[in-house]
Amino acid sequence: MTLKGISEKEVFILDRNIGNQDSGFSAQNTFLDVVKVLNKAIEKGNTLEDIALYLNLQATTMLYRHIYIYENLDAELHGYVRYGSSDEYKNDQKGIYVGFQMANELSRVLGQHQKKVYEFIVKNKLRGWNEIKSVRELIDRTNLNIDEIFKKVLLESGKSNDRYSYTIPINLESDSPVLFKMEQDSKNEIAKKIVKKHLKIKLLEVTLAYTILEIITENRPHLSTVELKNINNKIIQELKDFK
Amino acid sequence: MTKKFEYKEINVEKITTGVFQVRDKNPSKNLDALAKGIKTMGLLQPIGLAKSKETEKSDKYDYEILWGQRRHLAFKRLGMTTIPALVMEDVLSKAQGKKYALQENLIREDMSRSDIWNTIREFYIEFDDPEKCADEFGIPLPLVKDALKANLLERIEGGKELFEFAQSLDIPKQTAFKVVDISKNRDNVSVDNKKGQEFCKILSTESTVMRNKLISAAKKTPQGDPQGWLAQAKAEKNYKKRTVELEESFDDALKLLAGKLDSSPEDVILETLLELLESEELI
Repeated sequence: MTLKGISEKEVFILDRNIGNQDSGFSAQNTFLDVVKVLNKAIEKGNTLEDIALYLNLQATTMLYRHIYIYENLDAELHGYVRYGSSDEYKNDQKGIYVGFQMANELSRVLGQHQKKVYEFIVKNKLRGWNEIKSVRELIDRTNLNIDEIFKKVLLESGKSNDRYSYTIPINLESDSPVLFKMEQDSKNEIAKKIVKKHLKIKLLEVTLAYTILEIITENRPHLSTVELKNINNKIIQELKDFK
Repeated sequence: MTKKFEYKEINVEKITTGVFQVRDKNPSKNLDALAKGIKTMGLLQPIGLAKSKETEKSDKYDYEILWGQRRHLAFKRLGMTTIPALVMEDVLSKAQGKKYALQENLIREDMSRSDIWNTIREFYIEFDDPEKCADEFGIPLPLVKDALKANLLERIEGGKELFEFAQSLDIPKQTAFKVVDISKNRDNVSVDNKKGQEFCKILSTESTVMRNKLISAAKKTPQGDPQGWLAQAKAEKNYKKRTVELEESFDDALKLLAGKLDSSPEDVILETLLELLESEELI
């Protein structure tokens, strides 16, 4: 079996790049090179099933995704899509490339937001597709504007630059049953007072969750790990003693 | 130890359908066809009987049916006085009887999910542990889980309403099932609707990543509340583990340094690294 209307060299381009992640071969071409050959193969009368069979792919999903990205991702971003093990494009110092799975998620974001989302992930060095997916979902599910969504995603992924956050383990249910039963706002308030007493830096937020105490400050406390450990122990002890 | 069955002919009037039954579907369905078959071919497989606490107290009945409820009914319909049976003279508890009944039914043909649920119901309500149920009744764990899921909405009071509420907020089906499960009261047979709805409202405005964190927080601390789960999910950090190998002489030096600083080797590495990352303005 052969593919109609495309050369051996073009078949090689498809073969070395699509569904190639487990083969041990590095991807040799860019997304645009590949999609160009793929579109040509389709124009020449090959179906996606024919192509998948020829390339030994289990399904047509990867082929379909190429076409979907090509048709739905802002054309200005096509050149930034890269294949291969994530390390290959993650090591890129400029940090301007996105992996195939990231591009797949990005192509599903509403067109008007795509470039802004791209700039957001590049600026914040977000190298996973999860954050893009989260942005897309929050656009659909909330009334937040895009900047508020970016802020939320950064905070949730722990990659916000304007704050330093660290956590201390605790088991509130057994260590402090009184606090465990309180409403969340009251718990945070009490915890903040206790933290303030021991940690002499500007606190932005304190969250007393069920198994962790999260302390958010403007900057990393300039204390040695031993000093910080002692302070943390005092905070936890006071939380445990709370009646 | 395995109990012993003996083959006997038993008076059909001395047999009752009692607590051992696991099937909940109408046993009279297509009974004429079965009776006709028995009339032509005879009974190919004996039914299973055992004594129970109820039969011990009864003047009317000697045995309860473990399996073969429909064959017993067909025999009565045909007006036959005795039926071939494998009989156990031991008095079985309800759970023991169900175990035998279920095993026979599982071997004979696939049981419906509700049959499995009926069998494990009381045990599950008491222990709330699918694995224990699988061990106790000898049913494969995937079948137990499947039956629990399929019957979740019916068996939990208020479960269906909560599930529908979750769906009305566009929460995916799989997550909606989890919400019902998480919102169960301590009685294990009803849901805390208020808590469940509040949880749904939070989930409906979160991304999949956060939803997964929320579900995980709720499962870790089921006695908590949705606001607490939200706080927990937000505060959870993602950690990446890195392994480094040190030459022994370096490791010895590191231990000495840690001793001098009254710290641990791991903390010294972390602190040094943080300082470097900070000075390079990377964090």
